[in-house]
Amino acid sequence: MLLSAQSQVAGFQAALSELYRIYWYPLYAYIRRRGHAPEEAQDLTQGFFLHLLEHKTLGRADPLKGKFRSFLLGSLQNYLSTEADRARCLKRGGKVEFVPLDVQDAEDRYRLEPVDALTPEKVFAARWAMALLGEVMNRLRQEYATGHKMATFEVLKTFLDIANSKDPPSYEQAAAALQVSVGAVKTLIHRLRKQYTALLREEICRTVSDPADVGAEIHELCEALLVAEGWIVP
Amino acid sequence: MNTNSRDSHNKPGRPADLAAREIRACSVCGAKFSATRNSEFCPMCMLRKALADGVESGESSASEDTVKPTLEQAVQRFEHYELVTGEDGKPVELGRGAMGVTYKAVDVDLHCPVTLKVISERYLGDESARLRFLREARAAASVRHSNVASVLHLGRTGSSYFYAMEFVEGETLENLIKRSGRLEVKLALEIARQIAAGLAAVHKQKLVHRDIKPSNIMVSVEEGNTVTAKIIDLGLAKPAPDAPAEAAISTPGAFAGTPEFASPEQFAGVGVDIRSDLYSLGVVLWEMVTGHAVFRGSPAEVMYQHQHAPLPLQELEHVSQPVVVLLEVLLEKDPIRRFQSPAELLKAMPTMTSAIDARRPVTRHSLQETPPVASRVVTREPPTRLGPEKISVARLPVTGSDVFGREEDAAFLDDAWAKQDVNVVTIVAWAGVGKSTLVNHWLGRMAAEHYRSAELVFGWSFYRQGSRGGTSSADEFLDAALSWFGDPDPRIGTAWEKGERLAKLVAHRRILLVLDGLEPLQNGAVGAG
Repeated sequence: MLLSAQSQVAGFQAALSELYRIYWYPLYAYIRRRGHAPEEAQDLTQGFFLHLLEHKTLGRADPLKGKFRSFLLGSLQNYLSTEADRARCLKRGGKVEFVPLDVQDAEDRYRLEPVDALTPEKVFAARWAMALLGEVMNRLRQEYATGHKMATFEVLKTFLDIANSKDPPSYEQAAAALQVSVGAVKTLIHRLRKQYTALLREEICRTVSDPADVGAEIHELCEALLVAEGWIVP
Repeated sequence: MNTNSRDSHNKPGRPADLAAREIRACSVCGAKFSATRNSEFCPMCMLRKALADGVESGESSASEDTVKPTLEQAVQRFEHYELVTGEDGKPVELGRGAMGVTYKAVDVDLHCPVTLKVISERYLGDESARLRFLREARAAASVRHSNVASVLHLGRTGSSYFYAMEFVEGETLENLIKRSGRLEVKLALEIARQIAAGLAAVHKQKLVHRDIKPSNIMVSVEEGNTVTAKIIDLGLAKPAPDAPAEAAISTPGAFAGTPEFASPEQFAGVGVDIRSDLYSLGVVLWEMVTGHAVFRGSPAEVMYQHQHAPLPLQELEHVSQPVVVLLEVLLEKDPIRRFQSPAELLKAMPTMTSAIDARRPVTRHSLQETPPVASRVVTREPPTRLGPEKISVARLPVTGSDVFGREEDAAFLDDAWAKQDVNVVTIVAWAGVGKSTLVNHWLGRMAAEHYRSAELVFGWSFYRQGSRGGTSSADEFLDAALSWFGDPDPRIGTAWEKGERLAKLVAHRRILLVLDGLEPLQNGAVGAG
């Protein structure tokens, strides 16, 4: 976890890379939103990552007093206004491996999200929420894949939010697909939901300094998603 | 969804998946979200699961084989009320309105069912919406009557408000009519009497319900054939205006209600009073005794008929004469010719029933305390065609500098307005001729004489510069029109999407849209307005 790893010790870079891998898109989109062209935005996204590493910003002050998300956005704003040029020089001579960014994908998404009327901060938070949920789903899938239970995951994932499924399977259909009893399907669904919730809390915990802040973070993310009115794509 | 390494890098789906996304409203919380082929999850509900787990853990000892939708229940708990879920695990929804969703719920302390109305998630951060919701709850709570469902409690969880209402057993009047085809006259009159009694209580609080219709009336028929009717939704209830709005054409009152049951003045967008509810009650009574609404068709046709068409009295052939007279009074186009209050209607009820029992005819005068005065409004003859089938463009020839404001030009506009098949009138002339003056003069007359026939007049001058940096006045026009018609957030979307939303919002209204100063939209054209 970043919270434990960030204290100027080895593992900090790994932890940061991991978080950056998950949350680079909201940062990238924010930079694009500030008027930078795709290539430039890519450079700046990478540059900001290096800047964080270089300055050990995360380990230095008390950045994680509060939310990683707000800290990251604040640092990015700072970086964009004062250190952009310097960071780009760094990048040119840099030795550190970058986080791989798929800019083509990012651009496809970016174009689909016409949210010009919202504040960049709200959009950032909404994109952050989507990145977070995407990561949780990926981790859940990984857990099932590791346990050789991909079929279970594929059949039952709809039950995580069955109310919004356009073509929801019945318990009976799910049982037939997995060749188990209806009772067993219900148990499996219950487990899936529990795992999902646990992973979600864990993932949010990575980005707040105090576990007591998880609720507040969820509320803030929900508020951002609300005002984004569905324009942010999953 | 596949499992290759691409996903582990947390990238979105392929562009093709993204392009196929669709913005939906969550069926649980009402928030909008993007659904793609691979993801049909409401992000807000998914996020809240972590909250729910925090609440749930520690108190839940459900073994894994007794799976209940515990997570949902935890999410769907509002103080000591718990939403009732159906077999599919979804909360049992009783209705969905502009402001919120109503659910069946259980008071976990008292173990009794309640109806819970929860403010829609989309309004969570919206202070004015929250005030509206509070006002609605307070209005509803102020009415205490056995024929109106009582509001029991107003509460909040987090930043969301809800209120609990008495849960009314039985079925909606809509169901009962559907089930029975049509109701026996005596039963229909008794239900109407009880609705009138409920409306009298609403009226006493100086409120207007504005949405009296069979689906908002709960009825239960008990042993011995006694019936109880209750008005259940005061969602659109509003304080009655102190004085009826007269020059109301400019009142930005977007229509609220249900076209089949709305009064003529409701469509006009002018202030309505309790007599509007009495008209709606008339439509409900009509439906009870005939099995269908008095006017049917597309919303525009229904609206037109409510305002101008005579009642199809031939459909009442099987109905006894006193009921026909009662319906005629209730369904008067001009409020002044109706009963003036629910109390007046209630007073007429015994006369009605005894006349029916004695098979004796009644007269309007025997029912109404105040005999109707001559109408202030002349109902126009309906033109032969109700809706335009194609767009016609009429051109007003304005040729000289001294013709505007003159009666023949105004008469030309009158003529175009009266012709239902004219959709667009363009007024083209040199700058300075006085096109705007003419139109303004004519609109002023319309406001004074015909406000009941114009559902809405919406004008915008493109001469105005956009006041927000970088936006044109056309953008501002779209935004203003969207908010006028109740779009929750006019800022979102491209101009094309906004246009589509606007088209949907205005689809059921007859609207006179005045666009002035279109020159900036033409390249190099001079003086065309």
